[in-house]
Amino acid sequence: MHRINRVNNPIFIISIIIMVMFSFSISVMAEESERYGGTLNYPLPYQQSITTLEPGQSSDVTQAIITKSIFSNLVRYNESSGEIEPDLAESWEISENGLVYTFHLREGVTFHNGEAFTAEDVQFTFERILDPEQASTAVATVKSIAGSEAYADGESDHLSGLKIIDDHTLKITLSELDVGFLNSMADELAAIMPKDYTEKVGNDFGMNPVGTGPFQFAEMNQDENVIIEAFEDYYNGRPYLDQIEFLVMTEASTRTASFRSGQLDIDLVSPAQYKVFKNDPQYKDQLIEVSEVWIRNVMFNMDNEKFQDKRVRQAFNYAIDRQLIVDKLLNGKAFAATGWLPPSNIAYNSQLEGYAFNPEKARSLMEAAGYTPENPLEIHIIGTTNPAWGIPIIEAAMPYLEDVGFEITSEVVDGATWSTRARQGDFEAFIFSLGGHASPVKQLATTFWSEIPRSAGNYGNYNNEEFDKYIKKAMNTVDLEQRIEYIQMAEKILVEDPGAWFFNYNKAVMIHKPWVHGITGNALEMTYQPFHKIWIDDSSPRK
Amino acid sequence: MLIYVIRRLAQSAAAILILLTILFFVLNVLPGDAALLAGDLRMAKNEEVIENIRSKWGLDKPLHIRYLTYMGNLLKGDLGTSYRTSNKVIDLIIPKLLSTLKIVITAFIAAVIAGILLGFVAALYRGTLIDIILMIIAILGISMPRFWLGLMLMYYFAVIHNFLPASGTGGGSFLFIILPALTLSIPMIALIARTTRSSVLDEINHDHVRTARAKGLSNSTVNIKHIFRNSLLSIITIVGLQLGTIFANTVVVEKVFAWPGIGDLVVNSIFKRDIPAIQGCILVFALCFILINLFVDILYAFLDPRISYS
Repeated sequence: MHRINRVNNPIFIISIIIMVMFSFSISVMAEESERYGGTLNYPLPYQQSITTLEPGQSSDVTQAIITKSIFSNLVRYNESSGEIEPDLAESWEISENGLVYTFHLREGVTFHNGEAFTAEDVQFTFERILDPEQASTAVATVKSIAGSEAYADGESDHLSGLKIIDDHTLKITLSELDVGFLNSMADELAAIMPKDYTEKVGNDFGMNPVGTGPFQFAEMNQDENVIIEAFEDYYNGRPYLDQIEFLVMTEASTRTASFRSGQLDIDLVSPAQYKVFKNDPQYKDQLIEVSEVWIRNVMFNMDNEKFQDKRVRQAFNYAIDRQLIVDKLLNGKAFAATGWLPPSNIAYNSQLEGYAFNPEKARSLMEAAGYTPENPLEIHIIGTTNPAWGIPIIEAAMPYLEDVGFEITSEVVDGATWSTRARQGDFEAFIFSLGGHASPVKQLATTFWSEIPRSAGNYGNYNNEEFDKYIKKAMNTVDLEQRIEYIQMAEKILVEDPGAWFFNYNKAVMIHKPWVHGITGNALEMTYQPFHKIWIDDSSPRK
Repeated sequence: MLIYVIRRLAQSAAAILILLTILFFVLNVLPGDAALLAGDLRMAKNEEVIENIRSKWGLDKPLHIRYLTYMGNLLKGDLGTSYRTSNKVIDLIIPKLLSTLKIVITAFIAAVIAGILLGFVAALYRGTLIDIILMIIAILGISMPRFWLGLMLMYYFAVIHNFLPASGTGGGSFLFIILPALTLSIPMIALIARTTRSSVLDEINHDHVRTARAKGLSNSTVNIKHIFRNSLLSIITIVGLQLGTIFANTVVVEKVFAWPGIGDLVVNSIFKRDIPAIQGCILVFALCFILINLFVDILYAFLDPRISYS
């Protein structure tokens, strides 16, 4: 018999090598490739309640965390880059004058109930938003469409600026230039609803929502949880997760304990926990950080004569060592602010120096304005108990301020009281967190443009002609680069003639269990995660 | 007795009416506009929208008209519609109340059994190490704030030992009830134990107990029939009062354990200035307190034949 020496056979050796390489590559793939299935337990951390899941009826972040997965918009924000990308509209064209938008809608998209998505649904949604009976929270998103006022006033039976060319083509004409129109279309409040289903269920829609998003609504227990399930026919492919359970958990310490015990897969980290997690070898690599679009500030009431003198406001900004407060009190969970546009904003100006800690300069400015530590300027500041942007910060800043000629008294109010007093101008100064807009024009104009009334966001009644001029220019400029230039000019003016104490830009921090993949840092709002891209691996207890 | 009950109920109804009236006006003059809060900054930038919401909720009408409408509806059994959720307040409250009752009843049963047992043991072994240890524990139990206690229990049982779930309801699983119920009951156990101890000690020295022992009755008969039964009156008083306040304590415990009960509902409603829901919750709290106290008063008559309401 002829025996073959297998070990010396080159074919055998090569095949062994190939097998080893193949099995190795499989194991690598197994480690890295996405996996379908499982449940994600996700917290709803804010002191807000889920009252309805109809997009235009809710404007709380808590509702939006969920509705963003159930619904789609014409366009959407990419959660990582913040850029606008196609959603239900596959593509779009904007006329040269920036007034006409032609959207080409995706074909073959269905709602969760099987209804086909067409241009009629868009028209229906926008008209529903404008219907005064709905008292919709989304009016601002469609207000710039021509004929919106006539429709809202009942003078017209249709929204004249919205024309359906065919089932999948839509032409929207604006009544005036609105450079933030695509941002409005990406706003979760302007999410598209199914015409037939909504007409059938009416105002019960919010309890049984139907959209075209990656997940469909399954169950809601008010103030407890919401469960959504994967939508098999999502136009972009079925999401990885089978299910997401959103758990209402407003207490930070409860969330931390639930996260550590494995009941939650993700947690929004508070400043107190930030340091602990950062120094914990088990968790330090599971932290995702981003500079959010919120600015913590002390807003000055410009109608109050104490703030008429620019030097007083400048002195306030020079007087406080904001970096030290950020480092020591917020455990580094913030970025000291130089102006009003945070690093995540497309118009962020890295050259803007802002106000460095300079007590001597603050003192001389106060002296020039007629105040000294012996003859101080009394200022009453209201705020909530929030440790990152409430009265605790004022208490920390007090010694700095008193050192240069201010005498500070503070008053704790709850959010509801703050909201009313701020809009009525019933304050000398307040500390709060403002912003939340991706669009730089909106971010600046909403709070400081003199044409915005106090009740609508210009709480301090800030009025600077130069600032207004650049804001208007930015609003009327289609070219992005040029627009950014105008915005940065406006911000520079705002910093030089400060309407607020620019304290910090929030650093939002999220922590996740090692088995969760796909979490991203969303500057617009950290809790808005791309749930359709998130997956969990085998080590999850809820795989 | 029936007349007594009817009179008490009538008094209670008047008290509730006054309470709701005061509450209505206080809530309405407090700073904080529910219509403004209905939306966040983006939405509130449109005055028109706020006006629409205000008229939808009837907040544009004068205060006295709103009050009369509210009271009129209340007499018809309609608690109104929640601003926050657009649901009927009664539909909002019932599931929350049932959810709260789960932890309240569990906590209450545990507190009564454990409290009486520990107090009784401490009294029987008075002056011994057992008594001292039990009473130190009782003082600690009374002194600990529920918020802190809840977090400590959560940390120990859920985070360190992963033995019990940290928060939530778990779809009704009993395991989820244990920690919030324990947090709610520990201070109660301590209080009941201390009351039982002093009440039993009072009875032990009475002549009839000495006589019973002299008659040669067994220890257990003397303890149960002659000491325990007679000391029940003061224990029932403290237990009744505790049961009345237990609902108020759920506010903190439900927040810590993310338990969606009526305590949690009242806090969320206050934050959103949801006046109909706040009124509804307070009405439930008041009714519970009044009915429990009435029940305790009636129970006295059964426990002590000397008490008569005729």
